[in-house]
Order: sequence, then C-alpha cells, then structure tokens
Amino acid sequence: MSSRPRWTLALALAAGCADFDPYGRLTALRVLAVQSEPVAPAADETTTLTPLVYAAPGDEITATQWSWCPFPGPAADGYPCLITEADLARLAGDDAADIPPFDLGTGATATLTNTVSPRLLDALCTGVAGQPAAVDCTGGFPVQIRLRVTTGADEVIAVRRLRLRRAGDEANANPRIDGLGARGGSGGEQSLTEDAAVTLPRAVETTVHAEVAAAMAERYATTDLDGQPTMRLERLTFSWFVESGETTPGRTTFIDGIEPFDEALQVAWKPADVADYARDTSRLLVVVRDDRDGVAWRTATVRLGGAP
Amino acid sequence: MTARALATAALIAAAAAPVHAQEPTIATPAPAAVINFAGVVRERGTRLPVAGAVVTVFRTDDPGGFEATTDDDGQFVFRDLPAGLWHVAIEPAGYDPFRTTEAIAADERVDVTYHLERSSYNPYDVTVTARRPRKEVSRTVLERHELEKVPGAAGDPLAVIENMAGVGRSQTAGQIILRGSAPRDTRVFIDGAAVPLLFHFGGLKSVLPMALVDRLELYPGNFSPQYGRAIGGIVDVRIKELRPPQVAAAVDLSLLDLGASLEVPLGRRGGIAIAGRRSHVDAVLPALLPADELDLVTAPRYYDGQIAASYRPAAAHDLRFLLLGADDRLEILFANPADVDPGFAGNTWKGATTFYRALASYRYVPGPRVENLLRLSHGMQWDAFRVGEFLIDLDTQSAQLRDTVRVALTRRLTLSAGVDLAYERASGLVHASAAGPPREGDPADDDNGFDDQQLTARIDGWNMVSPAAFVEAELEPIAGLRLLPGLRVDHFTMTNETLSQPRATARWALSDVWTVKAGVGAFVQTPDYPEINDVFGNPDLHAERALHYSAGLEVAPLPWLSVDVTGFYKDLSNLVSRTDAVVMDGGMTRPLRYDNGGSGRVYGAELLVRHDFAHGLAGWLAYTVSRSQRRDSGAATDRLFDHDQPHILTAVATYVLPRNWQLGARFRLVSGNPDTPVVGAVFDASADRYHPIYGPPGSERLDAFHQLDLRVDKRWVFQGWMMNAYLDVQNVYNRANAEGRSYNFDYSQSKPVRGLPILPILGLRGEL
Repeated sequence: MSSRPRWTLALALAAGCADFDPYGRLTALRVLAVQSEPVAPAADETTTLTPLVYAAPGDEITATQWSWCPFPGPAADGYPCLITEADLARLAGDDAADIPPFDLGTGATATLTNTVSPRLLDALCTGVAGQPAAVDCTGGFPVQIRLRVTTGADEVIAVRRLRLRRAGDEANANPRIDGLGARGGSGGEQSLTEDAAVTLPRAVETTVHAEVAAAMAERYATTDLDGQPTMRLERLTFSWFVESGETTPGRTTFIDGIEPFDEALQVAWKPADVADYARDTSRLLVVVRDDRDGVAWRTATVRLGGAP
Repeated sequence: MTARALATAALIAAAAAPVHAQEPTIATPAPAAVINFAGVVRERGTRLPVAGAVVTVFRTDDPGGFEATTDDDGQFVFRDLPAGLWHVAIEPAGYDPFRTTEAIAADERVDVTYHLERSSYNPYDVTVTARRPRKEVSRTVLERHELEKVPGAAGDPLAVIENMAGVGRSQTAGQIILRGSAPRDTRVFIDGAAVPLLFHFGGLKSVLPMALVDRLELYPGNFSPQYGRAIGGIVDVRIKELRPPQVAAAVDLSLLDLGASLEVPLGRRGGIAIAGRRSHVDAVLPALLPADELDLVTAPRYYDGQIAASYRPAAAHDLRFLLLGADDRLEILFANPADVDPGFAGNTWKGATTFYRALASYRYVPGPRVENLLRLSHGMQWDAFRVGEFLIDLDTQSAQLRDTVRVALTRRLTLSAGVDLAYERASGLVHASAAGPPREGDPADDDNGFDDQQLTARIDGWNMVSPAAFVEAELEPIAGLRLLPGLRVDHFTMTNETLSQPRATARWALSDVWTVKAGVGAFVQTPDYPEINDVFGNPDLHAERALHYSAGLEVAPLPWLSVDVTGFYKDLSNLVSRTDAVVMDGGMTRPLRYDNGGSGRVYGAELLVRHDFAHGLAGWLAYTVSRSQRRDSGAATDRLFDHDQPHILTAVATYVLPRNWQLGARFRLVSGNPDTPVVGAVFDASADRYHPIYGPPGSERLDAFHQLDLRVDKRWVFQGWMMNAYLDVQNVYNRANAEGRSYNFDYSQSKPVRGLPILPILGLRGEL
C-alpha cells in the first residue's frame, strides 16, 4: 500500500487560505445546510427537507427546485444522476410503481416519502445487474437530495445524502441548538435572538456560544477496525457564519476523548469595523452536524456598535 | 637556476659526490653514515604522503648540494650533512614550490614534516584510464564531481537528475519524470538493487549522501534487459569503491541537516565508511508556524545512516557491502481540527517511515573473457501514518537476488545472461479512503477530504514473487558496429503473468567523431499494490506495457565536447486507470475502481551538448521537445499527461577559478504544466464543503517556468585539513513561478500558487 501521506494538507494550511474571505463570512447567496426530519425515513415514513439559505440583503430568492437521485455520479462532473426514472423502473421491475418521482417540487421545503419497496432496496444494496454503481448501505440505502436555489443574479446547487432506512437500521435524531449567547464586555452574558436586541462592539473579540445539551451527541452502534461491534459517541461539528468580520475558529468540533464538548460550543467573534462593513447589524448563524446526517441550526441578529 | 640544477651541476663537475660518506682507502673500517636530517613530505589539506618528490638541500655559499627522493610513504633521509644552515627545496609536478631553511647542528638529528600545497584542488582533475564501451541508445552518466556542485541541487545527488535531457521538471522533489512517463514508471536502483524510499518526507532530501556516491547513471528509455519492472526509465546510483589511503573524516553542515562521515582503510585492499545525518529543520520550524493553530509535537525530522565497505582480497575478486537506513517522523497536534477539514475525526497528524536496506555484491573476474556479478539485497520498511480515522500501518519485507554472467565467446561476440529474483511480503492494516491515493490524471483539487467512503484492509502476509531471466548478446560483425539483441522474461505472481520482452539496440561508430544509434524494446511493470488489493482495488488487473523506439546521433568533434541528439517514441498500453464501472462478483455488485483500459503515447527529441572540463569550464546544455498524452479508461479522447512539458531547456555551467574558487550557474526554462480548469462548484451539505466541477482535463496550461540558480564554492586548505563552503542561491531573480492554483471555499475565486522565492542555502564541509 502506498504510504504517501497527505502532505498536501500541510500545504493547504499555508498556501491558498490567505487573502480569500473566510468560509464563515456571508456575503452572497449560499445554502448552508439541508435538514431532513426525520433524519433517515423508514419504510413509508415521510421526511421533510428544510434548507438553511442565506441571501444577501436586497437579494430575493426567485426559484427553488428539489430533486432526488438514487445513483449520483462523481462530484467532479457535478453529481449527474447516473440513471433515469425509466431505467430505474426497468431495474425495479414489479416494484417500480412505488418509487417516488425524482422531481420533488419547487417549494421552500420539500418532502420525500420512503415508499421504495424494501425488497428493492435490499436488492440494490446487494447489487442488481445493470445498476450503475455499487452502494454502501450502512445505515440505509443512500440517495442524493439536490436543491437548486436561484436569485436574480446568482444560483447555487446543494446536495446532501439521505438514507432510506431499512429494517434493522438504527434511527438517528437531529441534534438541537437551544440558544445562542454572547459573553464578555460591559453587557456580561447576553442571549442572542433575531430581534437585534444585543449590541456587540466592532473590531473587538466577543465570545459567542451555542447552548447545546451534551445528550445531543448520541451513542450508536457501529463496528471497529477489526469489524467487531462497538458503541461510539457521535462527533458534533459546529460551523459558525457571520455577515461581519469572522469567528476564530470558523468551525469547532466535539470528538469523544479528543476534543472537549464545552470547547466546541464557543468561538471568538470579531466584527469588522465600519470601513469594511458599513451596515449596523450582522447576522450570526450556527449549524451543528453529527456524523450520521443529523443537522440543526440557530440564527441571531446583533447590532454593531462603534469600535472602542 | 634552481637548486636541483645546482645539485646536478655539482654532480657533473665533481663527479657526483655521493650523499653517503666515501669509503676510506685504508684498511680500517669506515664509520657508518649517520642520518642527521630526515623527514616526511605530505600534501597540505589531505595529509597524503607525496611520493617520488625530489628533496634538494644546498647552501648559499656552496655550489654543491644533495638530493633525496621521497619513498611511497613520503619519507626522505640525508646522512652526515655538515652542520650549518641548509636551504631545502621541493618542487614536484602539480604542487606549488616549497622552500625552507633548516639548521643542522653537530651530533644532532633534525626530523621534519613538510606540507606541500597542490597547485589546484579542482575536482575535475580526474584521471580517466579507460572508457567503458557504450552499448545503450541513451545513457547519461554524471560523475560525483559533476553531481556535487550543481547549482540549485544543494549537494543532493538525485536532485541533479532533473537537469538532464529527457527529464521533466517536477513540482515536488523526488518525482522523476523521464520522457513523459509518470514518476511511478521509473525505478531507482542503488548498485543495481531496488530501493523503496529515496527521499525524506517524499522529496525533501535524498537518503543517500554525496560522500558515498561514485556516479549516477540515467537511462531514460530503451534500457538493457538486465533492468526490468519499469515502463519508464532507470536511475542507477553507483556507490564508490572504498580504498582510502588513510583515515579520513568529514562533517557537513547545511540549512537542512548536519552530517558526518568516516573512512578507514582495510589494509591496502579496501576500506570501510560510516556516515550519518540528522535534520535540524525541526529546530527552526516551530518558530515559524502559528502556535495557536497547531503544535508540532514532533517537528519534521529525519535521520539517515550508511555503512559501506569494499574489499579486494585478490585482483579477480571484488567484494562490496552497503547498509543504509533512514527514519522520518512528523506529528502535528491541531488546536481546531474541524478548521483544517470538517471531516477530520481526530486532532493529530502523525507519520513515521523507517527503512533499512542491506546490499552485498561479489564481482568475480577470473580472466579477460569471463565476469560474474552477484548481488543480494534485503530490507525492511515500516510505515505508520495516522490522520484522524485514516490509518496506514504497514510492514514490508523485501529481498532481491541478481546474478549476471558475461562471457566473451569470441572477439566479436559477448554473451550476458542472468537472473533477477525479487520478493516482497507485506502485512498490516489500512483504513483509508476508498478513492485510494492520488493518481496521475486526477484533478489536483479533487479531494473529498475525509468524507469518502472508508474501507479497511487487513493484510496478513501478502507475498509477491517476481522472478526474471535475461539474456543479451553483444555482436560486432564489423568494426564499429555493435548490435545488442536481448530478451527479458518476467513472471509476476501478483498478476499471474509471464511476459517476454524482446529488446534490441544498435550503435555504429562511423568514425571517432560520428556515431549513429537506434533501439526498440518492450517493457512491463506491475500495478501498484493499492490498485490490485482486493479491498481498495481490482485484483484482476494485469501488467502495464510499453514499447520504446529511439534513434539518434552522437558527435564528439573535440575531446571535451560532445553532442547527442535522440528522437524517441513510446507506446503505452494496459495502463491502470480509474473506472466507475461495477461488476457482479459472487452475486454482489462491487465497484471495479481500476481497470487496464488506459493507454498513452509519448514522442519527442532530446539534445544534449556536454562540455567536459576544459579551459576551466564544464557544463551542459539540455533541450527536450516532446508531447505526452494519455487516454483514460472509457474516455473518447486523449488528454495531456499531468507533466506534459513540450519544451524543457536547462543550461548548467561551472567555472573553476584560481585560489580554489568555483562558480556555477543553472538556468531553466520549462513549459508550464497542464491544468484542469474549475468551471463551477456544488455544495455538499452533508460534508459542509464545496466540490469543484471540472472542465476538460488538461485543457489549460500554467505559465512557463524559468529560474536562475547560482552557486559559489570556496575551499580553504590548511595543514592537516580542508574546509569547503558554498552558497547556493536558488531563484536568483525571485521569479514567482506558478505551480498551481488555489481556490476560495466555493471555487468562485482563484489565485496562482507560487513556487519558492529566492532561497539562499549556505553549506560548510570540513574534511580531515
């Protein structure tokens, strides 16, 4: 086995990151997350797909298009769907009638009901002659949800994995962020909501934090490197987005035994000064993901004061 | 008039008064002559004895004088010199004249040691006793003195390869690109034995110090049947024969590491050398990196060590041994691993590679018509790499046996035959991305980080045996015409194939100046282990193949000037290529991942003009024009090879100045590498990252690369030792060469990634 390590990661640390806007700074249309509730629908269960979309002030979302695909192609080609509905129907044979249409509509949210025959799912997991790709059905049969969001000047495409749970697959719950807060300065501990009631100083670091119960990291059954069953605590990763300035770090994570839970819940936010950001309010959006497709978020708006 | 002439005149005029006292004419025995002035003459700096030097002693007010000649140990004696002040003169050829004065007292003996300075310590002043008859279409040899002071290479012998004709410029040191072939298609040998690891940290510095290297042989294509398991080219590094005249030691200090070496003679028949190096970049790097983002638990550091020995018990027997080993380690602790990569399920990046290789060779030449060369090697390599959940923990054992017998059947026919047996055994655990390691042809930014499907392979004693046999004839039907038909047969247990590779080379020396040459041959190599592993790859893969064609002309208009022009064409087939196809296997669908559906072709020409050392100048001009294309499995059209460089121009020159100064320069002008444009991006909401969408592969090209490197060397010669210092300045005019592109998080913006800026490297070497 080649032992060539990912030394390129080191280059990535040093190379192209400077001079570009940080990942967490919101300046234009972006899809930040897509939630499915329930996370992985069981047979005949309906999941609701809800996006977290950021549009810059003055940008209006003009169109939204949802679809799904059982066999997505490579990322480098833009995830084309490798099978048409007609070809899937031929593959499915007698079970074709239960397959939901690929088009999921144009609403702000979408729903997908797992009406795919369990027998068909089992067959596709094992492999059916003529299917365009092999799949890893750990946790359910993976399909891809695709969302296209359009404004007058911009368009983004987002995809996410959705597992169609089969009998025996463990269910997962989306995590939850109960609140956001800011700490420090003359205001002490302050709760952050969308009503912009809190003012934070510009060009000064303020600690902002998310209120998340430790129980949001669920324990689940998996296998170790030797293929033996074991229990593991979910990894929670937080992505912090702001309109003004940046947070340090841009992402935090809880990893059982490696990265403490409390440290994952807070970052330092330094809003930009007026010269770099003229508006007097800024949004703060925090997205949390577990490592089993669960996702949730919380948003707030703060008022920006003058620099000290 | 010199003292020698004075003494000669005295000899002639006085009928040669002997050094010894004249015997008395009376019957009583004469008193024995007494040595009252003796000494040894040594070379300044090296302390080597100067043999055969005439030592002349004379007095100002006396036209007479005496001479003595130093023996093999540099010693001389004078007997019964009258007391008084004597002038001493020593003027052997190749040395600066030496003069001094000694006072000889009655009944006292004076012992002295004189150190003579060579007129020049120029390493180019080497004596070539005989040139090996050329057999190959393309073979470039770089001797040690040519390797060690090439600007831009900082004294690394393998880094010099890139300056030769037919060699592409790699963005990462350690990647050897020969005539448009991927680095994995070229094999590097040390004294004919394959070595798994050539560079520390994948390219920082080679594991072999210059002190042990005798020469480097480069075969960019159409190589002899004795070499195999490669479809690109061959690099063979030859270790020097050790026969030091005395104990010698050296210490090397450079920007990267500190090394030391010791050579000890084994009588007059051989020698042994021990050398070692340790990097010190780990002492500097922590100060340069942001401590609040990462902690260098173990900053990148390497060790390497070598033991070499040569012994010739008799003229027909030549025994050599080499043991080399290296250890590379790096451990980084990230304060915010999710900021590095959102899928990073850990906070450390830990890598360690350790290996050793033992090589033994025995050359037996019982007579002028028969020669046998036996080579054995054995080694181990331990790789331990962990990044988050990704894990590679592999132990690999390898061994090789090569034996070649060469018999001159007649004056016009010589036959060589041999066996080449390679064995490898691996065991360990790999938990890594299903996509496998990056390959030639993959877009540079196509990295799903840690979100790829992860697979686990437990390797319990995977064995690979590759026996091969070869035969080659050297025919000279008419004077000057050499025909070399040959055949190599390889069996690969990895792919369960037995493959014959006929090869032929012809050289016709039309005169002392003009030689025409041509070659054709078949070459094969096995897939890499990840490609054929049953978890990560396709166990049904076959060997990759190539056909090489080349023809050219060599001109040597002057003893120190040669011109070599060679055209080449390579046809590549059965190349291992990624595929998205799936197959039914035992009732289950599995991805094929790789197949042998790739192909390619390379064509071009090389020009090499070499100026051997003359008039103080040595160097070469190398120019290659070529095109290298590939077609991936299932693709409808060809694409450019990742390192397709249509034009490669390299000029290297070294000028030797008086007082042990030396100046060197290297200029390179190379076409930019092909680049695959990013035409869009898709946000992966599961992984919280964007994935780029690519345009046609290799459809754009980076800006051309050009760079000037300068080097100045100075040697100081002291009585018993020498010191060498060099300053190697890379990229003198600070050219911001484009080495790729970096993108923002959604690939909507990009900027070029620039190569290293001006980089001065200072080095010191003390030789005792």
